Amino acid sequence: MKVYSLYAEAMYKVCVRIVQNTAEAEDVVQESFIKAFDKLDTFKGEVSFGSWLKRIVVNASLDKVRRNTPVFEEIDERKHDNADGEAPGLEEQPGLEEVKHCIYQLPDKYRIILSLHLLEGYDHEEICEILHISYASSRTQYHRAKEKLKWMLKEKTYAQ
Amino acid sequence: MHNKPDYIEELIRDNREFFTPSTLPEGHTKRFEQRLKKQRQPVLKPIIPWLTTAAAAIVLIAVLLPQVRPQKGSEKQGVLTQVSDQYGEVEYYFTSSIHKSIGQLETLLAEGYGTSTDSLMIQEELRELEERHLQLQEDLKLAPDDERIVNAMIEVYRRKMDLINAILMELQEVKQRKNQTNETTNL
Repeated sequence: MKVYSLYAEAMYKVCVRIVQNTAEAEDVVQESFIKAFDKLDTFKGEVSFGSWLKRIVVNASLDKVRRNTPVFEEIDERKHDNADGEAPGLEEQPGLEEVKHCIYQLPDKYRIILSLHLLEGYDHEEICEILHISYASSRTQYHRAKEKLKWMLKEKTYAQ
Repeated sequence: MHNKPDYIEELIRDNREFFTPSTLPEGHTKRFEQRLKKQRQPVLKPIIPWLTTAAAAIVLIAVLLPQVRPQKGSEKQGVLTQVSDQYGEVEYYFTSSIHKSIGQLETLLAEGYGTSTDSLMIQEELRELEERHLQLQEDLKLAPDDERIVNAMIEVYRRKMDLINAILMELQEVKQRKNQTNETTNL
């Protein structure tokens, strides 16, 4: 229980940022701890225990999202995808609340890649391992996610 | 090549806590304990596979140690010595190994590694082994030439030693891990 007490809070926060549901997150986190305890013998100490555990929680959280939405929502990329061009300029710098609101509205695949990179601090090499995608795809999807977010923020500004 | 972070990236990175949801719901620890208990129930036996699970990594209290500590002088005056010198040597090997491992366990306990979690289960296992050992000693008095009893006694010693060593190994790993995780994990 010492290990659980030490890491539960941090792992829960990681999980909720991905799963977006507090009740489900508790379930996922507790299952992840049990899984981690069961495979403790595979922990080689190459990374810190916290990082090892966090990866288990992230993977379990992603599995949960995939189960909830087997096919990630497709977005109208013709409308919003601007991967090769400049991201839309924001005339006014958005506030935290607006950004938070728009992040929650992002399609899962974009929200998750943004969270992994900006909130969890994973680099693209780690993200492509976690999401089983190529390095280039990780960078492209992240770029598109950021643009999508900016479009949403711009639209939100116009709507106000 | 890294792109220069833009305003949105910096805003999110600099305000991670703002994007972090509420804390764990009340009662989560109790729910986890129940879940853990339920999860572990089917794997309580046999001893060693159970110990290899992570549960054993944070297990042990001093109260169980006296049960398995060989009595003073028993290393040289074991019951198997009465059967033959060879068996006496085997017995001496086990009792001295157990004694040595217990010494190491006591050191770890003194350093604060280990909790009372699951100690009752370990105590129960050790108590059963001790009872079996005493019973076999009685049996050996009645049939000193019975090799089945001798082998059973050696098996009890072996299981005791395996049990103690498995706990010791897990606690050493806990110590090692704790040392590593004391560093900032950048969560």
